[in-house]
Amino acid sequence: MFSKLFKYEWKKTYLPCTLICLLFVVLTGIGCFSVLVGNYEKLLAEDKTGLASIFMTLYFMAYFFVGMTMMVVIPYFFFYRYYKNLYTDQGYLMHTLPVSKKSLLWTKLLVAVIWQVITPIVLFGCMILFVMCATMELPEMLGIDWGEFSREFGEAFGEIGITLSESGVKYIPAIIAGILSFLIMPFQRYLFFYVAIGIGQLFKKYKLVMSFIILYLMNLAMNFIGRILSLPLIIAGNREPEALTINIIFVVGFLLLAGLTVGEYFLNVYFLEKKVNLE
Amino acid sequence: MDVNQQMGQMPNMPMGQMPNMPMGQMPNMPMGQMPNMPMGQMPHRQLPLLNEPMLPNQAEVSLLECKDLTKCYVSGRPALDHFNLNIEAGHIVGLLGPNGSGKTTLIKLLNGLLTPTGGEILIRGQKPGIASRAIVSYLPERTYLEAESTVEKLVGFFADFYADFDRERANAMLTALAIDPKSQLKSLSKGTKEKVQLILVMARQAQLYVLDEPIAGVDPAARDFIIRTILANYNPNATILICTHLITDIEQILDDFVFIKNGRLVAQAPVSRVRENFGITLDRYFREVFAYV
Repeated sequence: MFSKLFKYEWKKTYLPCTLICLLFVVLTGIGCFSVLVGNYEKLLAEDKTGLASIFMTLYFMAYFFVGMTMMVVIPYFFFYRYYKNLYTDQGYLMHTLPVSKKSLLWTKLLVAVIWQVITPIVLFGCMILFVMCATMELPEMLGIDWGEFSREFGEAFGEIGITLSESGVKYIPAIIAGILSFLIMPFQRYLFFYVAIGIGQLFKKYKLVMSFIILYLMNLAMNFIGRILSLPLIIAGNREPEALTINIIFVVGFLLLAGLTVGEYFLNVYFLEKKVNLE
Repeated sequence: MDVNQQMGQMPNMPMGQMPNMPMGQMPNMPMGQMPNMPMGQMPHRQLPLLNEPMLPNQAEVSLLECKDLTKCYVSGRPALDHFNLNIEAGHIVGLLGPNGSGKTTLIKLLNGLLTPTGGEILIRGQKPGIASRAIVSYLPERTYLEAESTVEKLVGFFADFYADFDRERANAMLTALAIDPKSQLKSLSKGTKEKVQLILVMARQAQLYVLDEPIAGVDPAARDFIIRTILANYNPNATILICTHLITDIEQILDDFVFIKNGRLVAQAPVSRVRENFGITLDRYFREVFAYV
């Protein structure tokens, strides 16, 4: 049943997300093509009607808008879908399926997290590609030797690598905690959203609006708590901390994040099992 | 339930005509058999409350059992107050009561959409959960399917999740009603949407069907179709629990009734007892009872 639920959730969500990602890829492709093949500098210089600059402005606006949509709208799409699917009239269907409430939560969470991973990969992948395309021209424009540029670029990364390998052993706990935190962060983010929805739907009216207000208030509270908890990090940073301090900070940070994620998970299960408030 | 026997009490009369027969056509009928006469024109009389609970079938666990079931919301009086009910397999039962009597709360508890404050509700001996949801087919009062989905996809969805879903039966009903399986739900009229929902629910071979206001908000012809569909797909080993205010439309198919008010069971008996004891329709009895209770 879990795989069927996952399949349905994926089928219901992949199209809008894929279209937005594809649009960004296509826009990047157009940008790269113009930079590499099209002689846009000459075009801009010779353009007396101003059409080329208008087109370029529109292009960058579209590029920015689609990029923003990917980063902002997709998470809110999943936020709204979770609310609509489980806490509005559609809940009468979803909550009476012969599946566990945990399965309902997990399928929605996994699909949302998968897109949460895919989206930045596509976004930053495309942006890096665009920058690379642009910088292939840049050294020539600025009179830089491309060979020397890439050599220096490689050496810089090499130095970072050497530094990391020399001192990395000391920071292994911090690195592991950092990686684990990075992995669970998308889960925590969506579970955080779902908790806000779970509380918002308890109200008699304006459930979605209340969910957003609760989300905003929860964000404020989390920022406040986060700043208090990060005080040791700031103090440690000022004193050029030892590896032990850094390790402790990262490990404690990870443990707090993991605890928060687990707490949010069980809170959501509780809302789904005991506190569904369908009209 | 002997459907034919009950239907046979109204020989040669089309289903839709029974409840709305003009008064003038029933000149020699006793008062209680005139369901559409305005209340103000008839003196109330306090009728005794019938209480003949279904006897538990010793051979198997009760299909639905409520023991001291209580549900309190955050504020106000309890929606269900130490409610006791036993329903066995093989009956069509009308769950009837005025607004706010606790019918919907009972149905939500039965489907696991709410959790009891006290007491318990058991379906085939189990609390509402995955196992009970596999044997209960529930038609909510609302349009609860995704409007963007096509009828075909919804049939596929039900077939995927309910092992007892009969896809052929669903397709046959859709064909009989000339509903295009490729049409999106949002493109259909309200009545057709209700029919699609009913088809999906009745195409299951469930043990308990819970139909919440299945004929509310649709025209009389659609009501007839819905009632015919319920009867045509009725499995004598299953039970149908129908919650409605339109008693006259459904009383002809009911075996038993349950009256509920203020979260308490007021009366429960076979519908035939009402006719035998008082010579009136269930609708009349409902009006008489709730004028006093």
